[in-house]
Amino acid sequence: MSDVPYYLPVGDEVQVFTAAWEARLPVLLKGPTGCGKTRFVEYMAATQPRRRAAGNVPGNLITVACHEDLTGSDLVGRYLIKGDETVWIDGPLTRAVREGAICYLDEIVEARKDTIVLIHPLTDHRRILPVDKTGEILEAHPDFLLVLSYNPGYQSVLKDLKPSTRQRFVAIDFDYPARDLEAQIVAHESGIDLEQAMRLAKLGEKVRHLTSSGLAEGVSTRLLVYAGQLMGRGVPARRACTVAVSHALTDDADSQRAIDDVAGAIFG
Amino acid sequence: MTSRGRSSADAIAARLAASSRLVADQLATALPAARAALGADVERWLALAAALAERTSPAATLCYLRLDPARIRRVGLDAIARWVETVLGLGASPSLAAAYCETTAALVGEVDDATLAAAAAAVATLHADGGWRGERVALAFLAAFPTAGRVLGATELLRWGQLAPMLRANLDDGLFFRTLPAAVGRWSSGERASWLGAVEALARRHVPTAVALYRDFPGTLGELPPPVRAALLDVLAVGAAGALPSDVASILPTAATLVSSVPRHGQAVALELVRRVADEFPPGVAPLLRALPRLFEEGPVERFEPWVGHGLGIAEENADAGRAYFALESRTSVAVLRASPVAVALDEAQGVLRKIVQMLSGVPAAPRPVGRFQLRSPLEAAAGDRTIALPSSIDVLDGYEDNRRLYGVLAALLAGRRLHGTYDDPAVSAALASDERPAFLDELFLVAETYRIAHRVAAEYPGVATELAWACRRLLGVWERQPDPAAAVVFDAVLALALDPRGADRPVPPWLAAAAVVVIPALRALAVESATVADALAVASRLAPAFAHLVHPLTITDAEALDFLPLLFDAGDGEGPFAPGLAEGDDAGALPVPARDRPPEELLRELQVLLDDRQAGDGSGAQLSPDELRRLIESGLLKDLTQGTAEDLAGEGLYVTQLLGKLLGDRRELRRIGAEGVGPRRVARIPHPADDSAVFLYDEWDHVIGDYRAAWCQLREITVADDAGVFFEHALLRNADLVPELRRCFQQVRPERYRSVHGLEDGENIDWNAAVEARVERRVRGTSSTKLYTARHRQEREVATLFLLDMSASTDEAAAGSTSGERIIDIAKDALVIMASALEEIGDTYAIYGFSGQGRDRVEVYPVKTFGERLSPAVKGRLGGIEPKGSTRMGTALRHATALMRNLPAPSQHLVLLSDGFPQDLDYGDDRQSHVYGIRDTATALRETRAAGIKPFCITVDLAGHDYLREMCDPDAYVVIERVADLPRELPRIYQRLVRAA
Repeated sequence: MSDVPYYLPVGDEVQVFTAAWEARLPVLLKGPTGCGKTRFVEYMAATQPRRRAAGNVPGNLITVACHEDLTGSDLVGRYLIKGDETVWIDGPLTRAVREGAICYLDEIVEARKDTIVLIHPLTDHRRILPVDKTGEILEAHPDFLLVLSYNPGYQSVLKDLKPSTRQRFVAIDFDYPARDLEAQIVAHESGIDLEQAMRLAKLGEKVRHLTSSGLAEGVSTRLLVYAGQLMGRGVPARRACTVAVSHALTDDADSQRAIDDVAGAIFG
Repeated sequence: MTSRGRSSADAIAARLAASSRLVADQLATALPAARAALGADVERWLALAAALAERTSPAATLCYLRLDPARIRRVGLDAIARWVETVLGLGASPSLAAAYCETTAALVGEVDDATLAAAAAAVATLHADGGWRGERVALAFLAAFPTAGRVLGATELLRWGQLAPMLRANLDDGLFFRTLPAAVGRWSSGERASWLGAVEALARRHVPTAVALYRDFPGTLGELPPPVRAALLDVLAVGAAGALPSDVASILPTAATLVSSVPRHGQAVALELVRRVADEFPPGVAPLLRALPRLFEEGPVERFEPWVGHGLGIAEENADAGRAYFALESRTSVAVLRASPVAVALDEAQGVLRKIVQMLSGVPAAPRPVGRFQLRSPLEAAAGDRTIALPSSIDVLDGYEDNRRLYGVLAALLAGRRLHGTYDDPAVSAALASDERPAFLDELFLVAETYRIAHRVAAEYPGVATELAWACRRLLGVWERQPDPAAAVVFDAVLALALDPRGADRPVPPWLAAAAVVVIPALRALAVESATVADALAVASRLAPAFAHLVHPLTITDAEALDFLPLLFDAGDGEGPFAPGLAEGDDAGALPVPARDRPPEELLRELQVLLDDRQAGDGSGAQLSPDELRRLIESGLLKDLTQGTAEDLAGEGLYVTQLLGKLLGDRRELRRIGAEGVGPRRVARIPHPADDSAVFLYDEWDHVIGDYRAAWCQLREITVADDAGVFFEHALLRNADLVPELRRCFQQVRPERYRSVHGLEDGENIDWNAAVEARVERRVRGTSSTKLYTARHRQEREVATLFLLDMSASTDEAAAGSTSGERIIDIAKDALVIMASALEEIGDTYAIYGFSGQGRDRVEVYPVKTFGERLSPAVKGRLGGIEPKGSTRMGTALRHATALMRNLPAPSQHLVLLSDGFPQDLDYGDDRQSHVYGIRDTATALRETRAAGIKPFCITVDLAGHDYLREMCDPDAYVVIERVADLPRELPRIYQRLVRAA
């Protein structure tokens, strides 16, 4: 278990995901950036009971960062020329389907909709992946699971999941943890003491109040961890908060200064 | 007396007796006594009588003969002879001579000869110059002379007398003379000369104002120290000739109060400034006098001279601008006053401060300016109030960043109020709003509650604790140097001392010690976490009686107070408020120490003013015009207004409810909202009961003065009623044929912004460059990329539009050509329903707001759909709830709309104004018959909108719209819809053209 990533549950997400896993229901993780979605998937991939390890897939997890240039071939696979031969290379999705790994498509709404629809056959009772270029219809490994994630906070009308896609997943909402929990996470991840981590968590809580006033998103747990890591390496707390929080979050001078002032109020 | 002398006297007596029987009888009566009293001088006495008989009238002679000989002997016959000479001087009019004789006989010896002679000269002049009224005026003068002679000097009598005919149109001669204000008797001759000169000057221009200056004004000056009074009178004398009579009339009742409200050490400076303005720009005197309290409240004294100089320069070019400048109503005026290198304006800091408060408290808050810096910020009026009171500028400390830090301290304390329940106890709010609350409860509550909050916030935020300690130390360093601090500074200083971690480890001035010794021990209990706002009120209530007596909080001397102070801070042996080695009476090294047996006079007077009724001693008072009263209330000087019923009033005066509605019930709200520095938008508090909407202040362009009127208009956002979407659905049905057509048009609009994406494995077109490269690569290396295609990807539309709908009362009229009686507003609503439905198709960002209002103090904007909302049921309901309201103050509404769009990310922004007429409001410019002011202001607002990167477009259904829109807009920035019914069809098309051009 030493390879199990650290994850501190904030709600019942572990139980829900476990139940979904047992039923092999695809899962959609929704939440702001840096709140622990990816870490959660890594944790679940490492801890769920499996029939067998997923081949050579480290952590039983294959992650794909989606973007608008992501094509079907990028997911499913393509032929490549090696020497005089044409060789089929599985894409990450195909590999996960074959090996029985969890395929985690991160920020799924960034991908083109004609790419996203490829996953539909895997997310219903069929659990198949048609590979047009090889003529195969792969049946998913029993341990295969598809997990998507996206951040609903700033998605526009044009970048949204189609209903036909959304309704193939169970959704788990993520948010930034409560102060105490977030402090534990920050302390663990950054190595600073709990008291300092609590102050960082407090700062995070305060900064998130600004999401209705100009900040697109509040400060992520990830950034707080970064700040803690800098502090653990001797950077003064206020300076660490400036570089890891205020200046990372926003370019607006007023917001930067306000966050710096609140950090000063908290750290003294 | 020798026999020869007796015979000479007898001869004179015989001649005298022969002049009149009455004289003979009186002579027979008086002569024996005269002989006995005067002895040999009786002959002279007789000669004087004979002269009177020969040259005046028997009446005058009789009057003379009735003089008591003993009195004659006491006064001296020489004085009597001089008096007789003056009577003889009036011989041309025997009746006047007689009247003079009768009036002044009793004054001989009481009033000096020069005065008597001057009176005679005045009588003669009034008689000669007065035509057929001359004798009447002269007699009236004489009737009043016994009193006036004791009030006025010899050189003033004639001048005074000559005023009577000048004021006759509004003040009867007799009344004029009888109502000589007694107060002027206590003035110096120079002051009287100034006053009379001012009356003369005004009498030539506006008699009613001159009458007010003559009869009523002197009684208002009783509170002023003589040097200040003299300076004020001098100002009026110089300025009266050139000031606007209406301005002078409005300022007279309040001039003394306004000058009194200036800190005492600044009154001389203030009047020097006013005198300078009186010399060079008399119309600026009244506005400046009125603005004096704000001037001292908002500006540093060292800025006053350059500020006046700047204003005089403006006045040279434009008199109206000069008046507005000296009234502190123009933006330029405020900006020049604030141009201190170290001052921080709220506008500079508010963006950060509102975010700090929101972060700490979790609740959004908008700053509202409240005059100068106080450590104890004013309370918000309601628990849900989304405003925070902050000073409009801070220049207390010597450095810019230091002043900036003070804003941060205040913001933290204000956030603390929201976090720790300052507004959560209705009983506390009610107690602070009660008319029966004791004097100083408000001030003491702010001390106690700020102390409580400061402890809570400092415990939670170590950084705030550090900043507070720093602020208290620095502020005390400034305040303790003041020899005569205002009451607000005293309370702030007590709070700072209570919060200062140094405690009493240094000298403190006696005025501070005197207050601290009472207040600080009571505050201790509020330092614990469990203390509540009710506890703070209880502390304040216990302390209030100690301040109600206007003198020392305790009946102890300042020296004793200083001895108490170490006990408050748990000082040990040898510790105390004095530096080591400094004993009582040893001033070496101590801070400047004011009088030790009383608090500063300024503090006493200010406290007195706060409590006493402001009535004249004889109960007469001075009647105020509505505008004067309104200005008084707005200036915050009348701090102790009460309500009365008809039975309480003597019948004169004005009912304030006629002016300001029900504002007397909430005195605390009657604050003047000061002008702010540069920047169009700030938030303020408006005293309207049962109204907790956020309020915004906007400048307004005044083309007459060529400047903005700073913080001139008050705008609120008002919630629109909700009709549950009924209108929306019916509108779609009514326009069932139009909606699909427009949807098709808009769908065609959608694919406008595309970008070409290269390097795809699949796409609409072949990327020929990539294909050639792939072919080459295959030849060379044997492998090549498969990404040989391109495609067009739809880009997000980046358009944001705000639709601003005129909801003025005129939109309630039936639309021209409408057979079904549809109102203009209904057609406009239809247009917006269709527009919103179409915009939902293409995903453009848009907002809908309505506007109307009544007057510059009540401009109203109605959010129907904000930018962040979708077309939800609530939005549909609000669209249906739009109804006609009041006026059309377009400029303010446009500025608010521009501010709403300021932080939108969309690169292409539009503001579409939908109106049915020209800009108008009840006070949109001084001339109600002209729309020029409103048109010019709206044109300026539209330019501001363009300068902000937003493209405005005006749509009107007013067929006369060309007349004014071409003044306000560029030709391609407006359109006149000739048939109102076409608006629903035209609006989406206009929109398409606008955004296509973007």
